[in-house]
Amino acid sequence: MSDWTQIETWMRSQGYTPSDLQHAAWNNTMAGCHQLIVSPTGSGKTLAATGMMLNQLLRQAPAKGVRLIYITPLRALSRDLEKALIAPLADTQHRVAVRTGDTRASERAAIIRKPPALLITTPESLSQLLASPKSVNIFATVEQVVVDEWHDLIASKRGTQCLLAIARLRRLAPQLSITGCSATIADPEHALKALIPVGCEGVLVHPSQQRPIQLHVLLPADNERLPWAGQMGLSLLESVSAQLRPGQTTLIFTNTRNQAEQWYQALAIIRSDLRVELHHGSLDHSRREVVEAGLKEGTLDVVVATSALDLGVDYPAVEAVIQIGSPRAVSRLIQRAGRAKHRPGEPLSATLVPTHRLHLNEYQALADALSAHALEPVQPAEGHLDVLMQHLVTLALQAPWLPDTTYAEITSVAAYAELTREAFAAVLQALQYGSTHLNQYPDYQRLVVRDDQYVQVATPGIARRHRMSIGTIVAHASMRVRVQRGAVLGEVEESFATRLKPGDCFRFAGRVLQCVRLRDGELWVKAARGNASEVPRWTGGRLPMSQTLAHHVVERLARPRPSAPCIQNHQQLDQMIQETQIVLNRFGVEVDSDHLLVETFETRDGVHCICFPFAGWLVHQALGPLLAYRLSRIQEATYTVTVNDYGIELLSDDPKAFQPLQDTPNALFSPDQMVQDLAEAVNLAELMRREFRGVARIAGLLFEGYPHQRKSVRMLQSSAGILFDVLNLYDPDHLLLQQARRDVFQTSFDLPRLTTLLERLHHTPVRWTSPGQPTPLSLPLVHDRLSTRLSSESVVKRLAKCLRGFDDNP
Amino acid sequence: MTTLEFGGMTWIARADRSLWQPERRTLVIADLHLAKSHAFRRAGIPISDAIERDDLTRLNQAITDTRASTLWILGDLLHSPAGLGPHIARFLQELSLPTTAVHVILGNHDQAAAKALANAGLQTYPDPTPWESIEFAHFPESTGHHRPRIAGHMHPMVTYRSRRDRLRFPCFAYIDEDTLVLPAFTRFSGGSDLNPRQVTCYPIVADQVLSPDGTPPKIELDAEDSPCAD
Repeated sequence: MSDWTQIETWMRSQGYTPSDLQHAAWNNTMAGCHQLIVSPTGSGKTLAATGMMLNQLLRQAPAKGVRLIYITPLRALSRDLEKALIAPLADTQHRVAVRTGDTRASERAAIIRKPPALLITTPESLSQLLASPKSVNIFATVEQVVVDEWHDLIASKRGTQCLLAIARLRRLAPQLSITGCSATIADPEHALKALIPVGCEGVLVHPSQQRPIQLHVLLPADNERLPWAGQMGLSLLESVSAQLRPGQTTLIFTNTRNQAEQWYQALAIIRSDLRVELHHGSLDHSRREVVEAGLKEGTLDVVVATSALDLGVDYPAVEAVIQIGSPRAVSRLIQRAGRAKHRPGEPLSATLVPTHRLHLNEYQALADALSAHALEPVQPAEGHLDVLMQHLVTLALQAPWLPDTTYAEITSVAAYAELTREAFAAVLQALQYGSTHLNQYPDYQRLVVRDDQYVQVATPGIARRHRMSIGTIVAHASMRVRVQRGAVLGEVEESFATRLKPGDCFRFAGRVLQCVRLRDGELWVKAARGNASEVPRWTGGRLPMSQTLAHHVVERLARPRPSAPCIQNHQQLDQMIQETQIVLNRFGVEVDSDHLLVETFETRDGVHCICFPFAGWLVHQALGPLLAYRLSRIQEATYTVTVNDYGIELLSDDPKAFQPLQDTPNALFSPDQMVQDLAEAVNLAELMRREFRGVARIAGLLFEGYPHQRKSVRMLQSSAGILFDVLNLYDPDHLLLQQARRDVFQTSFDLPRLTTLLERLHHTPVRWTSPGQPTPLSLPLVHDRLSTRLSSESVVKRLAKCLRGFDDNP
Repeated sequence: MTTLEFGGMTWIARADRSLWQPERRTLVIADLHLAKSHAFRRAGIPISDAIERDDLTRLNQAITDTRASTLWILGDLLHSPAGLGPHIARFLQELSLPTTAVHVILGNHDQAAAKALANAGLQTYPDPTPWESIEFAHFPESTGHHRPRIAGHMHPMVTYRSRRDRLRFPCFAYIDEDTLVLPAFTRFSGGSDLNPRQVTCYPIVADQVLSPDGTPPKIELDAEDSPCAD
């Protein structure tokens, strides 16, 4: 048994009692074990992860070098962490430092000169530190690395970058142990394996008991007022407003920034007695920080937020959480509910506000999944080549390296365990010569292999530019919104900004603004009066429904039965769902997991065919065009595709358009030739072009410039689109194009899920219905028309259509 | 190809991004940006050398097609002073057409290299330079705009949008009634976006120059003046 006197004494002095979870984690760290601490927020995870080191430091005099590195994905959180870690060490000489993108140059230099015992940093900043030769010395003493919010990093390129950095730290300090912290996830074993080095053992640390959850569904006084379709949910505005009280901080979660803007606007008008604020990812940093501080201190009554507030930060002042619409994933609901009353032992709670009637069934499904502890599995990222390219240059900036040892180091990371020696050689070749096609790139320089086989960076200019552009976070092409003679309010997407004409009004950051002009890549605005219907839309703002939730929704629709008791007002809810069910039955809607439900009907627009695989819109986005493509090969017709979380709508003028689906439905869902057909069905080049911006930025092809050297950079300015076109034309097998293609299949289609779905549908009998009109199930699809159609027509034809549109829509 | 009326003359806008005046046997291009891909490669960005070869091949083809006696380059012949020597040499070598006189307006990317261009035997001219009843310039809006002007520098692109689609093409553009701007000759370039509702644009779409209304134009020329098929 170890001696935890020092840290326990400090904790008791603060009124905390050390938990079993914390003791377990401390003992693991003491024994040098890698571990993953899986527990909900508010269970003292930070102290569990760092307590052993704090205990040591409280007993020891300061020594040279960094002892513990704490990696957090949230820059905004780093200052809070600093306070939390400094507090126990207040009476000692040990130092804690923060190194993020916001850290001033003088502080950065101080960290190198006089390394702190505890270093708090982000994945990007850690890589930046590794790009310095001096990091070899300051990190040789590291004993423990903590990776916070691992569930958030695991599937992303940031996570991969983080793991590569840790692999280098292990070379410098072979004894270090890795501690991951994660919210509750479905398969923690998997997440642990992805975190720790290949071939190593690790330990999972769980809390002894789960926090129970309580849900309350906000229901309208009479069911008629709840529409059958719609995403905004403002019909329940008054009921939501009735839940809000001065002095009781309430967080309202929406699913899109657009929705957040609208709810904020509405609440600000009808509840002038409350301090209402808005928080989403496109608002300016300073504004978000003010809101976050207000939440922490409890000086705000209502904050309307998006998933930008899902992660991390503890807000003990938050009394209640309201979710508008569906959280679309079980784990997201747990995270959001966890924002309220952050006190161990108390149950999680959330109020759910349906925006249409089928959400009621989704809430039942959520409750089922929660009762069964069914959470979404996480899919660890596979080794990305763009991230690897960036990292190999970073390593060369630390010290020249030998290909053999570096290959061993890279493949010790789980994400790169499958990387072959040949693939590694190809990446190195691309960094040396531009590509594996050596002759196309005369005078190329980036990395060079010396006579003694060591790899180093070619020139100081390349080194300088690389240090400036380390990182993997890629924002959408966006424009800053600036008030004339005033502050920056935040960012909107470029495509939205360029569509505005001077004088146009729109709503943003909770204000009505008038476009003055576009200048220097900024959108200049002034305050306007009155109302504006335009609200910027952000792509990528929509979250798909998870497979886990979808499964439970199908179960619910197939077999109506009483709700799980974690819904407080389950009796009223069940009654309303019964009424919904009666309507569904009247339309002949029969859902079950053994059949694929297909509805066809005709309207003025043409023949509609709607199938319901219930696989989430991301997968449907690929399946829709694939079906349309396969249909059009048999029956020549034009198909318009629309998708949502439940199903796919195909629309055509040709009455025979869906005959093949009736004749040979299962052949259309065949998994054979899936990737080839998909590449034909969607405009793959266009999708890759979009994805390439991120790839090019990470691999160091896009250089955004230094702050004070605009001029010398202009020679190298280019857009990702042009780089993509040139590469695609002259070097179509380039590694980075392969990566862009992989990213498209991963992020735009979710290929693994699509494959599983096709394998299932291939053998699933179809249940045809012809209701004569849209049923309640298909109404949201027909209503939303969130079409993801991509054209395969020739440009000349597309141009003709665009120009025709000028007349319709002046 | 499509015909344009400008400065009292008839011009032919070619899909290879050049502008041709048949009576004066004069071919005009802008913004060739030689050595641009070279500068990128030196900075560790893999841009194929083939793109520059293709630009030069296309220029040669235009000269061969038109049998031009004069070639005007409206600025930004070079992208960067780096690697000047070999690129000018290659340029002249590629354009080994003794019957074509090459005149160069100095653009913003060329200033540092003015001397080298002159040494290489190219005739350089200030921005703007009068020619016939009009003037050639690099900048569309520099001072001394006294005559109808043909210019470069902008790399004009036109964007067409509908609710479902967005298309972008290089174009010849009348940015005002006295100024015609040429597309960048090099394909390795971005550009300034123009709104087709505000500016008269002739987009280059899939190997043809279309009219502002998006239709392929009919060209009626005397058989003798007709350049070879494009």
